[in-house]
Amino acid sequence: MLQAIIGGLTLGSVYALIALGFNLTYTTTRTLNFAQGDFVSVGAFVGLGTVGVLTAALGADAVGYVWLYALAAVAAALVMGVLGLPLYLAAIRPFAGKPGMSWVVSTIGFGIVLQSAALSVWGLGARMLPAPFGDEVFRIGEAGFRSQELVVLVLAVAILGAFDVAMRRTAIGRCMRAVALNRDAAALMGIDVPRVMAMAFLASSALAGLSGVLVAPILSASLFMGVIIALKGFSAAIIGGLTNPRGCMAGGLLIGLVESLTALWSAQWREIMVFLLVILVLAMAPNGLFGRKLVEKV
Amino acid sequence: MLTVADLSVSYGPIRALRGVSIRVGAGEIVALIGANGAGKSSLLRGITGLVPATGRVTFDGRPIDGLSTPQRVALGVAMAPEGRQIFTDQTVHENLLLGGHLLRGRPQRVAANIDRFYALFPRLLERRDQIAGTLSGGEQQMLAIARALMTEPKLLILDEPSLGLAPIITADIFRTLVGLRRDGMTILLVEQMANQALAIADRAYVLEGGSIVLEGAAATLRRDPRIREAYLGGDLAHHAA
Repeated sequence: MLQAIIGGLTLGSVYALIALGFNLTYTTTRTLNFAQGDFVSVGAFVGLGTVGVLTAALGADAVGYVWLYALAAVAAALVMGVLGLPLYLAAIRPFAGKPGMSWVVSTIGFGIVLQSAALSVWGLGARMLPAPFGDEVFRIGEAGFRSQELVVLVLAVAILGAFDVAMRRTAIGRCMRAVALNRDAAALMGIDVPRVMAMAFLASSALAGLSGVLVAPILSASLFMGVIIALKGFSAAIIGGLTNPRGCMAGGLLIGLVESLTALWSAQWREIMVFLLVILVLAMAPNGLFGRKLVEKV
Repeated sequence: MLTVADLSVSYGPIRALRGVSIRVGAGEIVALIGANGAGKSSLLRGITGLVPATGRVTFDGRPIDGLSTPQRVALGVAMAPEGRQIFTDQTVHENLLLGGHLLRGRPQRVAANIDRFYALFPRLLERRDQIAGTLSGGEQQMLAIARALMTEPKLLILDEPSLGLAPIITADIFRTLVGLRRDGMTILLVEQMANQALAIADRAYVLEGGSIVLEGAAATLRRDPRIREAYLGGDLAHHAA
């Protein structure tokens, strides 16, 4: 039971990172990056590639693997974050703020391009990214869990907390919230609105890339693993409320828990329960548990 | 200071503004009056770059019509927009800090400006850490003006500052505007409350159906029978409502 809770919170914290990414782009641009899943997968492979290149360059034991893994995580966040900019320029900027949903197709298209490019580099197969602290199983009473679960949980919660503080306490957070609430009023403060939007995509893509490296040692990394993670992250954002970053985080943890506790009873029912929960929440609270309706002024 | 020549604004097939030309001289209060839908807000949004417009806008001797809104703000054009549009989910103080966005990197200057506007609007100081959405209408308007002033403008544009306010509060706000002008601010004031606007303005333009139909000294327009008929009578209706 404890084991399932820790496992659930671990996956849930990754969903929360993805959900936070959806929240960032939705509030600032009213669009979502449906390529988020591909950013997760490709992020994992950028991490794998980084480890490979560094090992080849430095020799296998030059630095501890923990450092290699940390560098891989940073590289994935950076590379995917930077790729968020062309995504914004090509797939979002022409359509943001205009009626219609062209950005749905354009972001999915960007994801397909990204995935295809990655497939041509890394191929179809699944790979294993070793966990930085090994695959040993720790025991607390009855429960056993892997070191990577703690790594993911601690890192993800730290990042979520840092984002929360940054959104409330820093100038850039104030600007993001201002743009989220009212773009015209933000522009009248001299805020460069398109730049804030681009930064939202950079941050959201970096979160996706980092998530990929975090989960790769738990699941095995394939270029198709991101889709379901992003879908759960999206569900988390929908359940918690797309407009509320804390709601998105809570939604992620909730989905992770439901998934993992259901698996105790029947693994096949995991996905069913998750999406039943989504339907149930939406039936009762169409804007999610902690969300509010955004009124778009025309 | 501000010259607008032949400005037009369209929303799809609808032409909201049809070739409007106005001028605001340094140190003036210029009023722009007109009924709902006359194109007042479109003109202001065209001047500030919030909507695409055709025509020429010159500020301080340089063309600004090709610039983005933040670039125009940086040159000294500030607007307290229609319906105040303060950041309702942030505190009063955070709203003012956002007004200091262009002066980031100069925190002392931002802090000094904030102190200045707390002195101008002591009510805002009392409400410093309150979420702006919980302020009264009058306080929100004060915040909208203070926030615009935080950008250190040369020209302050106000879009219907009296909207939804009790007459006594409106009078308060208008007194503040007169004080700002005394200190050297140039003001473009859009109002449906024509009487009060004309009382503090030097000159005025009347906008109807997207075009300027009348212009002149505010004192003259105030006595103009067409104005009295169309707009000043309307003030009574406003007070009743």
